[in-house]
Amino acid sequence: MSKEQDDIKLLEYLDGQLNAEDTADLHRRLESDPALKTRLRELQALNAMFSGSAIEQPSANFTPSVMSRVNQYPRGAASPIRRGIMLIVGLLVTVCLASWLVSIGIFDNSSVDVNSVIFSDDGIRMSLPSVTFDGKILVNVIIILNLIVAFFLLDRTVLKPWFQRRSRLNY
Amino acid sequence: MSREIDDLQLIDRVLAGEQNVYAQLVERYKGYAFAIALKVLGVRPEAEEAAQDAFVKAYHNLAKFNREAKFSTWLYRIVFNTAISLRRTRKVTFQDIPETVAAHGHDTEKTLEKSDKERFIQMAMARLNEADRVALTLFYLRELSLEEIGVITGMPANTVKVRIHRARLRLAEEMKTILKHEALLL
Repeated sequence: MSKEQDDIKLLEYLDGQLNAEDTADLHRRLESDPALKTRLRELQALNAMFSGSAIEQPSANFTPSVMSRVNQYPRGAASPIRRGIMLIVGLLVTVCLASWLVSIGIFDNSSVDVNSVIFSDDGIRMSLPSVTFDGKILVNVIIILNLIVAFFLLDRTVLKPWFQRRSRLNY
Repeated sequence: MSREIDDLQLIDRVLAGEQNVYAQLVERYKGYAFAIALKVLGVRPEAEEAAQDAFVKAYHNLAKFNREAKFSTWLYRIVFNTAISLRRTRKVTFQDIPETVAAHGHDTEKTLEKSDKERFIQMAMARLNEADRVALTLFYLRELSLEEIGVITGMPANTVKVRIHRARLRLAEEMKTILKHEALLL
């Protein structure tokens, strides 16, 4: 039997993993082999040394530190990110829909000359100052505002919390 | 009541909104969690940071915990992975052994006090590679089966068994080198 095999047998013996037959065989060999007996004593000493070594404890404020971090970022802390993503998706869908409607020309003939609208109330006719609204421009402005809000939301509700979380947990 | 059932009850209470109950789980497992992180990182402040990060990460992923598994095994795996990540990020290096031995060389002639024993154990452990060191640490905690050590370190149980056997033999040689034969037999 090689030295390594002997060593493994000895370790199994020390761990109580050797069956009765192998244990009896090892006992016989230990009686007649001083080198093997010395090796067993070495491994026994090693075992005793490691098994007896105390587990180092963390600092006294370990648990309070963990709990303060847990309380700072409670379990629901991830939901604002999800809510932010949902809002952004909603805004982007609106922008895409509006852009598509603009591109197919649905707002091309939607200019309204306010002055041409006559309001009648008890027979009184009145005319407003001459102001014209272009529906296409109005929708484009709404699209741009939506995009600005979407970028703002992306920064505040997704990117910033995500980077803070990353630096905090350091995964 | 077994510890596993007790753990599950505590987890249920945390998931139900009793956030502060989590402190009981932290108290229960902080020692071994810190020990694992320390064996990977070798430096106390970083080990404490990694262990704390792991507890926070476990807290945020508590709902995903597989109730068929042991909480401790799941937690220690998070600790192990967090410590490995921190080690890679910070490039933490284990104590340089030749310098350490040189610095404490004169002590080998003195009586082997308990604190010295701890120090020599650390020296010998530091000579092992990271995977061996962690596997051996988990083994000597005498708390975990080879299968559980395998789950934590991401290795099959058989590989863990062989690795631990070889690491113990190597450790014996390292201890002999550090302490001399007589000191080892104290």
